[in-house]
Amino acid sequence: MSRSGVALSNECQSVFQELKLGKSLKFIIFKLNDAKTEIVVDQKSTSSSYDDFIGELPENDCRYAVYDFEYELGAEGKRSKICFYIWSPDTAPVRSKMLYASSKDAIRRALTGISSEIQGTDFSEVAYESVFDKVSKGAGSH
Amino acid sequence: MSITRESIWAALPSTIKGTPLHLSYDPRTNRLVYPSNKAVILRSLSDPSSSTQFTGHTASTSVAKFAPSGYYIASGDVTGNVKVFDSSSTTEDPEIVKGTFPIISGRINDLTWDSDSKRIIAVGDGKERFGHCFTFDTGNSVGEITGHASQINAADIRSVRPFRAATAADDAAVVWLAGPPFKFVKAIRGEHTSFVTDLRFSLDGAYVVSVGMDRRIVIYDGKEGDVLARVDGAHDGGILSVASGKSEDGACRFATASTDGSVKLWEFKDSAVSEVFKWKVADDHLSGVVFTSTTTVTAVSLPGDIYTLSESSATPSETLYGHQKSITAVSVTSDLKSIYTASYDGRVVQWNAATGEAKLVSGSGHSGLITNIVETGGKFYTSAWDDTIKSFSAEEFTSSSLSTPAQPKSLTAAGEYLILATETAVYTYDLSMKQVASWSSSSITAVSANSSVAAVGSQSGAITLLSVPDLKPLPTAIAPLRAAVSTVSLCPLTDSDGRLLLAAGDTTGKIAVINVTDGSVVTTRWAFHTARVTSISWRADGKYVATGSLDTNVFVYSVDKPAKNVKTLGAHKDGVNAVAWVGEGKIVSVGADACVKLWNVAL
Repeated sequence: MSRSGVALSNECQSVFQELKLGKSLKFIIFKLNDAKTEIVVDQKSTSSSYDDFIGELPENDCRYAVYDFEYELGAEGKRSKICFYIWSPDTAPVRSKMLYASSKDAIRRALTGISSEIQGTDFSEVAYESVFDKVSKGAGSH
Repeated sequence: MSITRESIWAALPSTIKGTPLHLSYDPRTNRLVYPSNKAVILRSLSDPSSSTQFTGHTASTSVAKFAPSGYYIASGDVTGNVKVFDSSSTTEDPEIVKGTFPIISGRINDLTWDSDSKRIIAVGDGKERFGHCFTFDTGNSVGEITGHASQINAADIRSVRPFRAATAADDAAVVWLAGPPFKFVKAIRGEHTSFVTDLRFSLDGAYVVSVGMDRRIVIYDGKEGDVLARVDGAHDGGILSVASGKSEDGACRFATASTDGSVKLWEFKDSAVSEVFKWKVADDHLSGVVFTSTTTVTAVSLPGDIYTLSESSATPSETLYGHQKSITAVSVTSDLKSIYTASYDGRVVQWNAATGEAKLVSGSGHSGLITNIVETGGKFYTSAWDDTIKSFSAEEFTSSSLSTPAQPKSLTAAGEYLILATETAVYTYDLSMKQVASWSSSSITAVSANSSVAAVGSQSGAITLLSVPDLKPLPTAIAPLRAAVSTVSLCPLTDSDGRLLLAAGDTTGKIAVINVTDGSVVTTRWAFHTARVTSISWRADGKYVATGSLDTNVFVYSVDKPAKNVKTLGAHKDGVNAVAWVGEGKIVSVGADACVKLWNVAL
């Protein structure tokens, strides 16, 4: 249980397994339900365009997201890393930012196999280049 | 010329307040397996003096479980390593370790085998994940344990097909898995309002029982995981442990152990449960429970005492005592019938030297590390870090207690007197605990005395001789040791040449034998220990000396042939704290592993 008492819905686990094992999904966006008691799946997508993913992040509200990040290493071939995003823009309401920050453990610790965690407070921090920099630096990324 | 082990009187299970202890029982050999300090103890319930100690772990162990086949044991430690070893290994044979698997980055809280004895689910408090499912021989992954947001306290696998597994965690949820390979199916939230401490499938696989600190018992369907029933306020305290068993007529039962000190026996009835029996076991809270037959249950309390409960009595029918923490002192009675041991937590235990049966010395005892037990005038005196000297006879402490002026370092008997060393002074007391004399110095580390002379060792390596009982320095000068004196021991008698010998051990492992009558050095050949000498014991005839050290070894040296010695290496993991002779050909040693070991010495 997270500090805020928010729990993770069962759907989140199964959709994440679809992305991780089934490789059928490209990204999942999670949000808190209206009663602020549970983390639920906001949307899932198979679109391979990173811009589509960025476009789905709301400008004035927070979200959690999981993105199956793929990148080329020239001759060494393709790499794929699952990234966890906590999207908390400066312009979001303070209450929302507090709630998402304090509930992060409920989802982050329940998902296994995440290689990087991305904190985003504006669009420059979740841009393809900055995420690429981060994931390609870690151990085993080459 | 050898030392062979005669028996191990096992340590009690290690427990943590508010944390369940998962016990495991093997009906074929009638043995219990449990974690104890850095070892795993296999303890026979029919013969409590027969035990095996598995010392393969390098960190404190947290759980151990028999495979359903009985051939293997899996054990976990606080660093997240799981070891699988052969259950037939005895302490004499080198233990056969099948495999070592690093599972998580924190404490392993529970392990469970599937009914094929092939797969293991290990769960605990990790950083990246809270558990894993793997094969027992190769460590290959056969599933993923996901869905919890905080440490997992327990896991169990359904014993019949289709296999299901369930885990219980601190996030108040129970997670349902299907497999193999085991995969997340659903999280069951809202049934418990606090930490879920333990969870077991019924033996026929029809039900699952989970218990928690919210005093609740929740029953689930064993195949689909649907909630069937709930018992609120099942105990007057949080429930720490649940065990599955069967009654004589084959009905599935379970037992719960609680922080209120009671164990309750329950029976499944259709989709509900009914209470069958209740035992009031102990005043302390109970950490673990396991079925040992259709009619008996074994429970373990916070101090580690092992209780056997049967339906014929509401109180324990048998209790196994011992030590849970490092044993710091040992004393053999002059009639050789009993051995007294005392530990870091202030507990004193009386052992029957022939059978290994243990009894607790009751009454108002000590609350801190006991430094020594000495026998004189038909009574036993103990000094402890609660800054008192107390006495007991047979099985009970007397009410008399003496507050010492400072923390006791060492206590020794000198005829009709007791001599106590503290950091800065030595005191003589008569047996009514009145102070007779005192002598001030600095950095005192150890004292040993007989009825006329006392030898006092110090941090600087100097050894001073004092008269007894008035504690006046004697003129005999002794050359100082090269390192701080850690223990001194006067020979109980003068030898045929009129010499009175003193063995003094230092912090580097060297032992010097000094003739106290003229201060000359007899030998410095006894230098086989590699760390602090913690204890030196003379055989009653003064011909041999047994020594114990922090280097885990026990040596027996001969006075007549100082170059000869016999040894046993690795006697106690983390160091030997005390050794004593039991008659002519036997020694008893105690150490930081909380075990008492008896050795036969052939000279």
